Amino acid sequence: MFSLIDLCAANAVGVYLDGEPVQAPARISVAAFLLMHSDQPMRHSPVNDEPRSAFCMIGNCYECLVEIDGHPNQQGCLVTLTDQMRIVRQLRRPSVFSKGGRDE
Amino acid sequence: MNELASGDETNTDLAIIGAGPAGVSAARLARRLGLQFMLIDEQTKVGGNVYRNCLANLDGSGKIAEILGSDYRKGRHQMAIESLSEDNYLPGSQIFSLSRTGTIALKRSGQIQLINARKVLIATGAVERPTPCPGWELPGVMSVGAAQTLLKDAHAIANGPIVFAGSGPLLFLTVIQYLRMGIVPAALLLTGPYFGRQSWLGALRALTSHPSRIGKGIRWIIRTALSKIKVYTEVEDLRIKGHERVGSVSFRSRNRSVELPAEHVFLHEGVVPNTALSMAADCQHVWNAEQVYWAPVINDSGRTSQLDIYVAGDSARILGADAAPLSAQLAVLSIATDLAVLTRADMIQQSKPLLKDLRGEVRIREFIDRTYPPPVRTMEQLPDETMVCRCEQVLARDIRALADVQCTTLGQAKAFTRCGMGPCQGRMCGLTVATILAHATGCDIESVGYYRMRAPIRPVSVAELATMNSQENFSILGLQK
Repeated sequence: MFSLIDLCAANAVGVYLDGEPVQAPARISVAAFLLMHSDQPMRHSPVNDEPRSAFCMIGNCYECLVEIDGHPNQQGCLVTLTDQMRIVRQLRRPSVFSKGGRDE
Repeated sequence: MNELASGDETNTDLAIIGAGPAGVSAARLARRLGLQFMLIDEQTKVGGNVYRNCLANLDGSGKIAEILGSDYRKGRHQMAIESLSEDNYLPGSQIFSLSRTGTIALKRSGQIQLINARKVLIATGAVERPTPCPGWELPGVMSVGAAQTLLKDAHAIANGPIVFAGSGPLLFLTVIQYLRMGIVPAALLLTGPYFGRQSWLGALRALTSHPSRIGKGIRWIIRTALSKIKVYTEVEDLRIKGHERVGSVSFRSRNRSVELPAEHVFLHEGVVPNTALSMAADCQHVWNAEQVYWAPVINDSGRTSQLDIYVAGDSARILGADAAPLSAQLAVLSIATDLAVLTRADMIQQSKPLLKDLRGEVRIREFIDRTYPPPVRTMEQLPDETMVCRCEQVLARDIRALADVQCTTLGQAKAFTRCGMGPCQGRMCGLTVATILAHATGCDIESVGYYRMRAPIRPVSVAELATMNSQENFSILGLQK
């Protein structure tokens, strides 16, 4: 995880992460917020469900893809947090056909 | 997000793409010469990467400014630009198409905008050379640039045992910044030799022409050596291990095997020009064999093989932040001459001091390049199980197997394995796959080539495209002109 060094007064905004309300520093990117929030991956790769998180933080690697305000596959490192923003991590969803694993 | 609206078209003399040191310097000169310009940037604030968030960071309390260092503090002057407005500055804009004649299509807050520019200056800077090794795709592994971005933008630092690995000045700079904050990383793994392969004559030449910069480098090395950080040299066979995220790293250093716990790993092996836009606009590129990257073919002013498209700053050739304003101004002088705002005689006269200073920058860069050569051997010898294409999960062994089917170009490799077909469009794998393919087939890397960059070079949804009328659609997808 990443931590804030309290070098500037960071006004909090209220956002939703995976449906849950969370307070977050204002003026940081969605990807930075996720890195500071937890060690959870930002998504699972659609190719074989491997956990992935931001790598480059400058919009070059396309690993920090999350759903923002209903739009999927947004580069979290290029989007600044705004109040009431809805962020959903693109994690693997259990299939109705299997016992918690991926369907074929 | 805003509601999607139909395309908006704007005409301008000069579109400047990128608001880093090159782009902002170009805008200042363009304004002084009376050129109408549009400064377009993906980010929401000027600064590029090197001076990211500098206007906020250098205003007020000195702590972050102290941590980031004296080079960063130059941003106060480099990034100063007055009176940017909606008329000439488009932040938060992703360009997904650039035609060879200067038509730009971009996305901004969910809306598509078209810019028809008489001249285009690409100033999109550099990106880090991809640094594959087994396990690099695990969460918790990032580039050194990512550590820098998190520090500059969010004032955020990594927790837990931190391992830095690779080669190059940016690696040392980031370690120094962490040390300034009182954080001692667990280890610094140097994949190149500590002082590089340098002739004494070359070192002496650099020291006498740029004593303060070499002195700074030496101070960084000494400070690192004196801190409690463990430094390993001649690091080979780096592997990153972990279950759902980084847990440890293993490597060999001077023939000793080492394994260290790690919560974060930051990798760096130098930077290369960001050629996405120049390639998308069909500019000719040349392979720089010493520095192992593709670069646009340009004249002394930065004009590419497409007469209306110029490139300046690190997008043209890696020369660093101090050289960026020089090449940017050379480009704008030439553009102003193209547009008959400046006479050729004036252009030549005003270019002279810039060219002289640029030659000095080239000399210091040659010194740095020799000290930190690109890791070609490491890339050629990556373990078979290394995931060279992260998006499509193509392994080094899959690329090596292509030698058996007479696959000799990157384009063919893409067709056979899907490498380069993922969302990053080859940005993270192109150089690695080309190096491995060249090595496996015995072809030279120039003939292996690069991926064909075609619009859209940034993601754009069908819904967004569908809001535009068909005339605009065809031209931005390059089907006209």
